[in-house]
Amino acid sequence: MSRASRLLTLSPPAWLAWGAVVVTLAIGLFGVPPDRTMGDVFRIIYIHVPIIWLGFLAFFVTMVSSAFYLRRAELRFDRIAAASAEIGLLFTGLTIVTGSIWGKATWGVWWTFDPRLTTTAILFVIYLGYVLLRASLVDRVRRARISAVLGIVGFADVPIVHFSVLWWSGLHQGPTVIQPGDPTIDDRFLAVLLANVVAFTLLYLWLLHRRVALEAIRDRAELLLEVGA
Amino acid sequence: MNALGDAVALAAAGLRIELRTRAAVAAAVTLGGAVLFLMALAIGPDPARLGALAPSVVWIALAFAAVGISDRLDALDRVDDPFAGLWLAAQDRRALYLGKLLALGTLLVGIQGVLWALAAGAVCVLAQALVGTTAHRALLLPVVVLPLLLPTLLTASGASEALLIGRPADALGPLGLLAVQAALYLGLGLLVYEAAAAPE
Repeated sequence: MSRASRLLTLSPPAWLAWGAVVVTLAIGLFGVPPDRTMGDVFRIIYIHVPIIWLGFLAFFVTMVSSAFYLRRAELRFDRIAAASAEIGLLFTGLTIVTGSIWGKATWGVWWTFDPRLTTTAILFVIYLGYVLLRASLVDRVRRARISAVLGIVGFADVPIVHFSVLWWSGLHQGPTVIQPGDPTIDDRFLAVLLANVVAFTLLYLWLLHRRVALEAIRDRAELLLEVGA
Repeated sequence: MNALGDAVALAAAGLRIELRTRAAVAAAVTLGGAVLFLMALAIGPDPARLGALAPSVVWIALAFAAVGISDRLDALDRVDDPFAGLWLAAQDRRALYLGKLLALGTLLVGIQGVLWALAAGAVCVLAQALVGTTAHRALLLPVVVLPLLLPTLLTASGASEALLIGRPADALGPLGLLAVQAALYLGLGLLVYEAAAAPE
């Protein structure tokens, strides 16, 4: 099957998610004027900010699903937790990459040990540890239980990342949207930013759905192998 | 016996063994010393640069030392598997977590300070339970512990720096944050330790 015909077989939710991302990013790139001080480079917020928020959401979903797993011992919660952690890891990695591009354009460096950057990198490594730990555990039930614990504890870094710009001084700007009082961003920019957040949320939900389905197939395959052995 | 009594008894047993062998502290001092030496070599001989980086370097060495002590103490529970017996005997399994934390914290507090000992101990004991039965234990322990400890490491380093440059008032903020982190890790540890440490 060619790539073009494979595109046509995408499900409606996939079309909706990817379509929303393409349209809202296009509006961010071409539909709003440049920022007064940063010029066109500010447009990277339309990907950088939504993906870190979605990264936080993904890790929150991991934490909640992990708690549910520990309470009810149902593997479906473990699948959601694992899938969400992997997507969160992907989004956090992309946040570091896009932030690095932004940093080069505004601060003149690809990387600096700014508190926000450092704590985000720590968050990335914590969930990398989560994925590595999962991969090293063979027994399904034990893997689910151990991962659930780390899925809960690892989330402790998320508020540290968010508040790092307030607790320590650094180059990264402070909160502009989630803060006491009105957002310190132009209404037009804010509207497009929120539209991008919605689009990336749809993408996250679609990815989560696909990844959970894949994990369920993997669980069934493991079970069949155990029964066969 | 109540949970606290169980925890104290367990900590006393671990500390008594450590007092006889001194293996954990020796391993930690060697590991921490090696990290300090290597970092100093990597930074170079410039005294100004060494002085500026000293707090961070010392805390990195202390983090490795904490992992080393925790690993050594946990190794005692893996010889002939006395942990399985403790698990069955304990009325409240949080006592096992508290006991291990008390033993590790007592050893750490002597060289590293109360708040750090509490935060590092809380994370290390939990991480030992997480990676204890995995095939790549030695590799996974630092992978799990160090990222979780890094915010604490940065905070402790900030407090030390303020004290070293003679501005103790500036250390109060980081010390408060350190207390919050220690309480957070201790609370999380008590909450999830049983799930992490349950034998198969």
